[in-house]
Amino acid sequence: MKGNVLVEFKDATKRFGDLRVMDGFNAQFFEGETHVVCGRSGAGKSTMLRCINWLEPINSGIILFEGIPVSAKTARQVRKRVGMVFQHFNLFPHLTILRNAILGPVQALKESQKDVVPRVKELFNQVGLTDKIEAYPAQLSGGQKQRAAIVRALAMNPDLIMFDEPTSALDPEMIGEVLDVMKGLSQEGRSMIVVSHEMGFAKEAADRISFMDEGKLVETKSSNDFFENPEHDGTRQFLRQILQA
Amino acid sequence: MYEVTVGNLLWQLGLGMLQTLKLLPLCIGLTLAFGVLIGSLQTLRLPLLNSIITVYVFVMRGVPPLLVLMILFFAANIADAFLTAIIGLSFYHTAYISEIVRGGIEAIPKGQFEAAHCLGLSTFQTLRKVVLPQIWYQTLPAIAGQYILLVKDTSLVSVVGMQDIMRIGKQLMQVAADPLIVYFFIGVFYYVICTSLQQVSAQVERGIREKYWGGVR
Repeated sequence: MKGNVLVEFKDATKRFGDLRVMDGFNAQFFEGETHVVCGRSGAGKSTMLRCINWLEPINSGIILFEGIPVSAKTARQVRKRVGMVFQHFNLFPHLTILRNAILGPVQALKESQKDVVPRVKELFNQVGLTDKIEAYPAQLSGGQKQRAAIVRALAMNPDLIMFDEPTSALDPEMIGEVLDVMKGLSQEGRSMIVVSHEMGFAKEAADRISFMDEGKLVETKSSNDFFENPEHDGTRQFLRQILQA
Repeated sequence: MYEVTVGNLLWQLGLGMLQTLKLLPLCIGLTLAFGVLIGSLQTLRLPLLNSIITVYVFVMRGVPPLLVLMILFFAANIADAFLTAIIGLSFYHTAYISEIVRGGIEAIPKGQFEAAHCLGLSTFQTLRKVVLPQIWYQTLPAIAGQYILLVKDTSLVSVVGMQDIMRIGKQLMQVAADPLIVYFFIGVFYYVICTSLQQVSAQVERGIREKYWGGVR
């Protein structure tokens, strides 16, 4: 059940000095899919995500988002359509989480506060934070912060949400509540690209899973296939290590 | 020789201090507005503008404020003492405030900028809505310190002819008053103003903490 191509990398290269983080990178991400990207740290997963919304400019090649080539010129246009959830939340500490979530729609999308607030409150309700909307980030637990950050991304009504290791900075007991929210979004049929080591989540929620190694997607498979018939040696080794742990 | 009573002395000095105080709100307003503008522009790293600002900051930090006032009044021929004082002190202190603001902005974690950009906020919106509101808490002590220095630098404006507390003090000494007493009271006036500024700064700091971080910081 593939939708249209939402994001396409064509021969994209990203260098940090001499280090090639992405090297002739090709990939497609589809509408309505939850696509988990895993791989060792340093494999370029986060960089790949950050290139999609031009947080990192690529050095060569092309990235298409909804058919638009991502560039310095189109970056803002793309960012208004792409939500991003960070490992370290990056909530704005001087604003309540309600203000955090309405900032984007009001400032960037020029929506009126009257329209945004009810919509955002409903989102907070969905992630179980209704009684916390007037709290400042510093007053919340890590899991609550990440759920608030997800609401902030959702408030923009994005066509795609990207998760950059959303549970890596969380205490173990808080990982579940965040993954549950993500599973819910996946079931709604949202388009999601998730960089994560959470194999349980991948197994349960992902439509497709990719393994990234040395700046390339070496293997992309449907969720079941990925775990049962991994072809690439690197994938096998990675799975062995991570499933043992 | 006629005697100056303490009451009369205080009254005269008070009038002079009033002149000084008239300078302050304007100077603070101007330095804050331009300091935030210039400090923000510095962080954008625009090639030519950055060089100009850097030179300006270097020069202002490298010369005494008295020289700036003298140049404006005697070389640039601004005839009005009050105007000279406003322009000179603001021009001089803006350089310092802009550096404090720049430092404040650059101390904000990169993730804050990224999160704002990811929401589609423009550079200007990011600064105004996300970054600048966060710098005050950290920079307030430095900014308050700078304004205390500004208050002290107002003692220089008598040289361009302003009827400020220093000049009036000098005149009082010429008619009879004991220099030690005059200087003592001038000191008291400055001390009260500078100390009040520190109090205000502490108050504002508390206010920011409560308004912006829900008091948890």
